[in-house]
Amino acid sequence: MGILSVVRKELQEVVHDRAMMAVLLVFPVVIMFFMGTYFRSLEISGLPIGVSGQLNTTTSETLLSGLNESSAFKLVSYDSEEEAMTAFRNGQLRAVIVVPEDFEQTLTRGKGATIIIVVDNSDLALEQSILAAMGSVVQASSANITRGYVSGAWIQLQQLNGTASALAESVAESRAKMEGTKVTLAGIRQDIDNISIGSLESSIEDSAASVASLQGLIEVQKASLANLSASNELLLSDSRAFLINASFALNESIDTVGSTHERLVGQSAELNSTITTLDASIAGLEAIKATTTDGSIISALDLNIAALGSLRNTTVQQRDDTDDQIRDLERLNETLHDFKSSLEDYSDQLDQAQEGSAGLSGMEDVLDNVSATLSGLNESFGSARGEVGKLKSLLGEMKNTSSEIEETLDSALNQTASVDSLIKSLQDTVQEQTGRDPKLIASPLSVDIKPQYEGGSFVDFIMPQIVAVSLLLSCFLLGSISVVREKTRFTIVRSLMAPGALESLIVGKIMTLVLLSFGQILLIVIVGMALYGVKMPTNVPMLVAGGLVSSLVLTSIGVLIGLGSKRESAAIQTCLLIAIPMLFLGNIIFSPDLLPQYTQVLQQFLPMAHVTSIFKIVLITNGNPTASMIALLTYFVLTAGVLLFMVIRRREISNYI
Amino acid sequence: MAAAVEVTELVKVFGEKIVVDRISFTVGEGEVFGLLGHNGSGKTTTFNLLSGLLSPSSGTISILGKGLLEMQKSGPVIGFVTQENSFYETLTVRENLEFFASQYGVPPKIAAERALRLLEQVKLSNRSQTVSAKLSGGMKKRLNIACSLIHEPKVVFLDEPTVGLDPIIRREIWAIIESLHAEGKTVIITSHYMEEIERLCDRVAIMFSGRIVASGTPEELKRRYRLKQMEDVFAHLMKPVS
Repeated sequence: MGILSVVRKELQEVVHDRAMMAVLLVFPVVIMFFMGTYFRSLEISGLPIGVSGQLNTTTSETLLSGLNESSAFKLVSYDSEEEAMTAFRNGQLRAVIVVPEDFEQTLTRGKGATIIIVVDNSDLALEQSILAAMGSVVQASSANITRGYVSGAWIQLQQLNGTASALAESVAESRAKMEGTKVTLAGIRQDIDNISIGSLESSIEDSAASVASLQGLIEVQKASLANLSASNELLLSDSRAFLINASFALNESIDTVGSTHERLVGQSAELNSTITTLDASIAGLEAIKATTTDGSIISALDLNIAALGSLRNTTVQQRDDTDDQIRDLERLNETLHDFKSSLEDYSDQLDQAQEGSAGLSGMEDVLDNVSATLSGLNESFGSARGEVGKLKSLLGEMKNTSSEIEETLDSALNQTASVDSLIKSLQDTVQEQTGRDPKLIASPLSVDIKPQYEGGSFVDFIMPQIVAVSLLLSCFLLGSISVVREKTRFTIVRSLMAPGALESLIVGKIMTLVLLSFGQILLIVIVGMALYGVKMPTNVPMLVAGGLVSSLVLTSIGVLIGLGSKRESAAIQTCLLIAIPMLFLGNIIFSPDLLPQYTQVLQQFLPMAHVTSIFKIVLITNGNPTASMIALLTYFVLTAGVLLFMVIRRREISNYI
Repeated sequence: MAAAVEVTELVKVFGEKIVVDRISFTVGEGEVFGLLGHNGSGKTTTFNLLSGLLSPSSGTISILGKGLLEMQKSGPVIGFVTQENSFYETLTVRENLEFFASQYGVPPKIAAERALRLLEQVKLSNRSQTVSAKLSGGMKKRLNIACSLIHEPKVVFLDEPTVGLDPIIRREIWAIIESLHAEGKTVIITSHYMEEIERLCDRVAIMFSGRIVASGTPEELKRRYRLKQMEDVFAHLMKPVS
């Protein structure tokens, strides 16, 4: 009953106290308004950025157009860095981009170029936003440049690949040639082995002996030739005489045969005529016979016809014999003419022999020349022997050289295998590299960010912090101040005098502030939904539980501060002293993950971190805030224990007033 | 007359400073007892000791025949009107009374009846719904007294109830104290106003540096020191201070 009357009293006080109403109602709305407005327009836009330096090159224009396309920036060109910096210092610019004068040249040489961004680092949030926005644009431009580099490099690689292919073919040809050369060298060595220098030497010796023998023979021939020349002259003379006589006799014979032939031809013609006459006679007798029937006649006729017939046969035999003689004469005539022709040939031969005889003396000169030549040849054999010796040595050297060449070729072949492997590796590398997308090489990693909490705005995400800050300040300030006012207004005297009244007062105050905290949370959610379209909390029971535990702890701490303070100013100072670290380390301003490790540990002992965590889980992640709730309940138990201890043990008025 | 308050060899030490030094006195039931002394003489500390707001370093206090602890357990029998107003200025007059009634465990119905009666007694009936901050200084003083009486204490302590008030308001307060006296309540009052003491108190005790240097009825004290006015008696006794 006493507690409820305290709650009623506290609520009545709130109703009558405009300042407290303001703290309870206006404060969260103001926080919601400012933070909501700030976070709704968190994305930067139209920031004036000065640019100077080498602005008219392809790359710098690409880069600056990328920045220009971003709604975050409004680029303003300056003729010099000094002008841009002056405008920056005068507050007309938020950042200055300086493109070095050798920017494009440096890039063209394949060296990394640096642009300078002068940013206002006195405003951390703005600095980070500018750098993040610029960083993404610069990264994209850088990726484009890299892509250009890669594409160029790939063209060169592909050209190199073509060269490597040609080289591989050339190497294959060389290898085939070397293999052929090896075979040839083996053949040469075999040939060299097959060459018999000894037989050549013996041949030279034999030839030398033959030449000497030939020279002897030539001398004999020269003597024979002299004898032959004399005999030949005599023989030619006799033959000439015989030829003249034979020709005369032959001409005589031919004439005789000619005249005999003419005569026999006449006889043959006469005999033919006789035969014809006899045939006619016989035919006439036959005709008579045919017309006669007289046997005697017929017999006579037959006798005449037979006689005529016999005569005719004899005539025919004569004629045939004559014809045979004619033919014999003709053959003889041919023989005589042949003989005559032979004589004429013989005569020609004699003429030639006559001429040949004249040539025998020339022959002797020839033999002399031959003999001299043979002598020279014999001398040549001497030098040939020397040359053969040299040849023998040369062949030995050739064989050795051949072996060395073969070894060199083997080594070269092994090297060609290495070259093949190298070319293959090069080609594989080129194949592998050029098979990739230059865009991927330029920026191989891409990030597909999938927001865990879809549909939420920045205001939705800042709601836990707004609620937590509102609860922190209201619970701390109202809890502590309301207790201090009990002292400064001396009303605590009455509570100290009434049994259990102080306990009721403390509990009642905490309960009231817990109730008012729910009102604050409700107000913040309604304002957030109405002004900024934040989403309706889905887990209302958990929100109520989180609000209860959070406000219990924060109010208890506030009341504890109030009990320990004798003046409002002291209470407020203590509240701020405790609240400010909580604001910084309570996951409100800074993300816990961005803080040093020891502060992350420290956070676990700060109730505010758990308050923020609970509201984040309830309002955003829809997870399970049990761990943070248990932590806060532990805090509450500890705080309540301290409160109880203070209330029971510190009952003297001097502890309060 | 039975003793409503009986103090024996009461000592209160803060650190090394003896604020109340072996004082003893008795206040009879229905008596108005005045405790006089210069600033820092230990009056308020003695009041705090009597009302249980401070624990004595030594000595005993008996209220209506009970020790303090026993008395506190049995329920509030003391009404303490602090020198400063001790009510909630953000509440209305009636809300203050009802709240303090609840604090003392008075049932709401009875509290409401008492509030009406008390408001009449302190002449604030027409201000019951007024927010206390808007009351005049005299009204606030009267409300302060009413808040101390809502649980109908048998012993009432008033710590300089008229300090800083104009004479008219002071007389109004006197009237209330006289009405309490008339109701038979035991009243212990501290004041610097000798006129007030002479008018209201049956007996007085004068404290000096934590000790009671004189006690008796105002007439007895004046006779004892052969002075005509209580103020002269007080001044006489305070000489060592001046």
